Amino acid sequence: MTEQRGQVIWSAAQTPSVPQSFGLEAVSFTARGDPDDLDREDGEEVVQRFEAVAIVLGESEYRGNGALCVTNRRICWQDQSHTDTGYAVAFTDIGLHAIATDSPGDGKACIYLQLAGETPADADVEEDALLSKEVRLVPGNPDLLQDLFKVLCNCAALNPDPGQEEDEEDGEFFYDQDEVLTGADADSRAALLNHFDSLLQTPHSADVSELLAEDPELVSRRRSGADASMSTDLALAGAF
Amino acid sequence: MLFYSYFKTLVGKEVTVELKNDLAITGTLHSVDQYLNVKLHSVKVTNETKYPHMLSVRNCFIRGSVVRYVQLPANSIDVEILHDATRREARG
Repeated sequence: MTEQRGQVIWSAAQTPSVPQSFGLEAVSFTARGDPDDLDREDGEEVVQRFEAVAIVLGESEYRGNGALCVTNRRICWQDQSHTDTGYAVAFTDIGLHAIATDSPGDGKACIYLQLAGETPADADVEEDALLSKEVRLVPGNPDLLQDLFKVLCNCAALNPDPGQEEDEEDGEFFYDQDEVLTGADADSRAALLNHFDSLLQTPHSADVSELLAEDPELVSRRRSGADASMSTDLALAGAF
Repeated sequence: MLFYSYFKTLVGKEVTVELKNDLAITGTLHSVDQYLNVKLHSVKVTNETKYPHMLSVRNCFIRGSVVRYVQLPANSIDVEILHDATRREARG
């Protein structure tokens, strides 16, 4: 029964042996076991290899044994019986990965992946979408699971969605975690909010010292009142 | 970035992460990074009939971009201060 369902899904794909959906792609391998489109020039590199890893696509399509080559961009699985072919999925298309303690057939522990990639608009995925979105990697040696899981976590973190990169300068200020943890009373909350305001309005001190280094007279020359921070603001406004 | 810092304070607490594919995963928050990638331990799946393979999952890593909601533990939240901080970040 399950086997039947597996066949239905993959026959719906454009190339019978390769499911062209959800970010899973056919990939070829070099004699060394690297994916042959490894993009070294763009910084892609092999992070770790895992020998004797079976792959299960969807519900039951058992693909036999192979080897896993994890790069800093994607997971590549190389078919042992056709050593130059396999599948690859980019970390940006993996919505979730997990350690699961069973897999169909042998009940072995495995790495479970849920793919979140785009599906071709014409693909027939209404009914069976879930099946083809699930991939399991079954290492022959279960001791490798934790290792593999950790490598996948590290690499996934290296691959945020395009446009999701955070501005590092913004990452430093704004929030006192201890206050949040314990809950703040009215006074300290007011103090905290004042603190936010000061952070929002004060120019980077590094900028100021740089300007002062270039022109030590800058602040005193432009000082018009007693308020030092005000005159700093004016000095900066004048400098740009 | 506010929610990143905020979630970090919830490490060790139980949260429910609801994904864009309607899967809801409850577990102990183990870590969260700046992209809101979330690692959960002691995982339970609420709609397990839809995702039977998740039944045997204990630890998982969820990509921040597939998360729709995170349900927070009510007793470890100061709603008012979160409110203020959110408003200020939006303004800033």
